[in-house]
Amino acid sequence: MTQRPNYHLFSHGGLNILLDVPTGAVHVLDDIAARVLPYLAAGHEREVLQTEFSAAEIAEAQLAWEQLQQLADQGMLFNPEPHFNQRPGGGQLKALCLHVAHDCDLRCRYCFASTGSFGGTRSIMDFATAKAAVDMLFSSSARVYEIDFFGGEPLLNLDVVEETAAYARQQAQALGKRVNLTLTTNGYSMNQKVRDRLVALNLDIILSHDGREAVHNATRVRPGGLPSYQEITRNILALEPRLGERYYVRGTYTAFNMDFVQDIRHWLDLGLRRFSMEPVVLPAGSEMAITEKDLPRLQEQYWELAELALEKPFTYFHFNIDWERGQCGARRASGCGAGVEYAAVAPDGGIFPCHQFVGQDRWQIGNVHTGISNASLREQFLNLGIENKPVCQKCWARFHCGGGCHANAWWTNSSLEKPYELGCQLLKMRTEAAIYLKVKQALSQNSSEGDFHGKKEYKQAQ
Amino acid sequence: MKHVVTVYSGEKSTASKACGQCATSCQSACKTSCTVGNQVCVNKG
Repeated sequence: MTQRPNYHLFSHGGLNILLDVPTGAVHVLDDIAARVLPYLAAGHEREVLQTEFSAAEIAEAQLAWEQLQQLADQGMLFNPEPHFNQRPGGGQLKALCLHVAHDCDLRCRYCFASTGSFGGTRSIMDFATAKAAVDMLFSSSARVYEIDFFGGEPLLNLDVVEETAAYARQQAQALGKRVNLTLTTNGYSMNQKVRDRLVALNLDIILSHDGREAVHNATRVRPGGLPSYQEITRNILALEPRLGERYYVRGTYTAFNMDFVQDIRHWLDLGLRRFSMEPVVLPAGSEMAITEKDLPRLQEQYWELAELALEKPFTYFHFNIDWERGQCGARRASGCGAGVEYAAVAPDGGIFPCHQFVGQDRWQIGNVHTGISNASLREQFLNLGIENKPVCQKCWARFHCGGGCHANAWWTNSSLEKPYELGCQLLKMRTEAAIYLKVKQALSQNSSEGDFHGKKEYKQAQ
Repeated sequence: MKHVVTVYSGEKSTASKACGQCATSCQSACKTSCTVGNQVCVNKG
């Protein structure tokens, strides 16, 4: 049987941070406790300290041993792996990605969707199809639904977005359920009139933008390779003050901007405050692809971003670890809902496990007009949690990740069970940075631990 | 002397809640990165 790591210890900024993997409990250790930990974890008798620590250290090492043991006794360290036999809520459909337009007014050079067409004919969704998709979603027994208006570029079909949003809200009210709506846009055609319509729609908006002008224009171009930064930046800055906290600016970093924190600083300079910056996923041969050799530099970027988050107020999606209101263990273990709780619908009504599988015939589950034609696909996705991914069982980040992106696993490894390794490495980097940030914030708010070694180091680091 | 400070005691009480009301993993904020750890429980929130 595989031995699953049930703790993870890492050091940064003068802090030794210990994560109890099964429960997510987080502790800060001084240097001597960090050295004691592996002996206790390995099941040694306490006498081992006599041979492994100097005479000057032994008393403190004994004390550290006792304190770590106390954590274990209190259920905050070395917990056994929890097992979850079924998906939360039984795996009912809860979220739809509605591809209201398979067309786009940009031609981004890294686009996974073939610049909006998803490898097919450029087209838009009619309301009858969108309505059928909403009816399919609402036929499940879930109580909270999500619909994301996606593309291509959904603003190319804003009439249908508005009609569908109104219908979904009306149906939710009639059924006594809740529906959350989002829209993902490149912002290019978002003129004053469109902005007014978006504000009236009262939904969450994801605005694609890549940061500095040269970086943005290197990838996010109009047909013919024309730049888009000026128009999109102007439109986003005009809309953002009207959205409150109901937006994220979503960027993609590539091999062209592995100093991506500079792009986040640029957003801050523009007055934006809510971000997501994601690594591009491209075949290794692409000039924009991120490769193994880039990881050390990217690791530095995530640490830098954590330090920046301590200096300036902003929200970075992947640093949003909410210890008080986080998801339950069962949800964390089941991972991505693609193909089970989540599906994407193409303009012709085709149903796919997620937006990244749209347009691939072998991944079509059915059609909203004619029903499910390939029920076995759902079964493939039903059991893709961390329990069924050997790599995940050995990974300390498994309850922060949930097993990774199924689509990326397929595109890189031709296997749904084998995660995209580079993505795993990046996720672990930013998860460490996120935990580090939370710890720093917690320590700065709590000054009652005055005699703690690590706290002293923390103060020096300020 | 204190060698260990607990910053967060863990989610043991909700480890098996599994009500199923929560969002699926691939949120619009990223659309490429599954990170269940970045989401909140709607049943507690």
